[in-house]
Amino acid sequence: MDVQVKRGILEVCVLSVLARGDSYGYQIIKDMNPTVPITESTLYPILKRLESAGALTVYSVEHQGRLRKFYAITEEGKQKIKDFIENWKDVTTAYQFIEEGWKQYDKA
Amino acid sequence: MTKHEFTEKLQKILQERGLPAEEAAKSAEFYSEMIDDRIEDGMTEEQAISALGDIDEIAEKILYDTPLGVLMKSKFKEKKQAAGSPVLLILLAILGFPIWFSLAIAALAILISIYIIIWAGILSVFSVVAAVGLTGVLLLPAAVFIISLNPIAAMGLFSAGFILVGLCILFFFPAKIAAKALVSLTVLIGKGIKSLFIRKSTSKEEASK
Repeated sequence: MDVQVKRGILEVCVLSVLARGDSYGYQIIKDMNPTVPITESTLYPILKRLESAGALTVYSVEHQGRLRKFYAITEEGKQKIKDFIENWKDVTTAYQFIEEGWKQYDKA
Repeated sequence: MTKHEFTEKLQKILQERGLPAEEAAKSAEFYSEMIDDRIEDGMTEEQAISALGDIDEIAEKILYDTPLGVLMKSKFKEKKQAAGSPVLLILLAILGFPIWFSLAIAALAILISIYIIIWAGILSVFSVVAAVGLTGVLLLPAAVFIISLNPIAAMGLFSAGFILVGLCILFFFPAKIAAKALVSLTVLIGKGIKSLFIRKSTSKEEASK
């Protein structure tokens, strides 16, 4: 899949994890792994980008003598998820259009 | 590799590739937390680190996502720091005054002397032509003056005078061309010096971009 599209989808996936509640890096990966496998090296840039876009905020919590960074979704982040779901309808329409065209080409 | 070694190495790579120190430290912090969480999950330190994957690839992904402007800015900052603080530069300019000022004066003197030589060349060419012409012209009344005393000598003077005037006219045009060439040489030198400075200042502008 196109890298940009994939990134955009992964961003929303991360936000949807946070929509269920604040979480930290490793937990996000574990939550996503069964359905959308993601690595740390992919997750980190996404978190950074979402933070600078204002879609999430970061706070630290002490855990076993060290600090753990928690990520919390903002209103902007929630809006991003809404927009994604809304826009995806157009994508599925386009998908059907592409599929129909291909079917006709394939038959001929 | 231990956790400490890993984060140190990651920070080093990121900073070398132009990420600001603050950002590099943040990235290392994130990965340090990831390693700790995996260890807590039951992995050994070694396992936790190798689960993260190739360190160069990790650095690559972070850099890929950093705006080019940020990378360039930190590179430029580095350069500036290497060049020294402006205070130091000013101090250096003041302390070096006896050296650079005398060098500048010497360069200016050389330039002025080159100009003088060129203009002296033009002047000498024209004065030679003028002297030849003037001598020829003055020989004509002299010939008239002695024509009654010595007609043969007068004839000689006449012909010499005409030859000299003729030579003067003949050489005036080549002299003019030579003078023009010398003048254009001075213009060329002037342009060359100017472009020397302009090139310097534009290359500085490019660096600041």
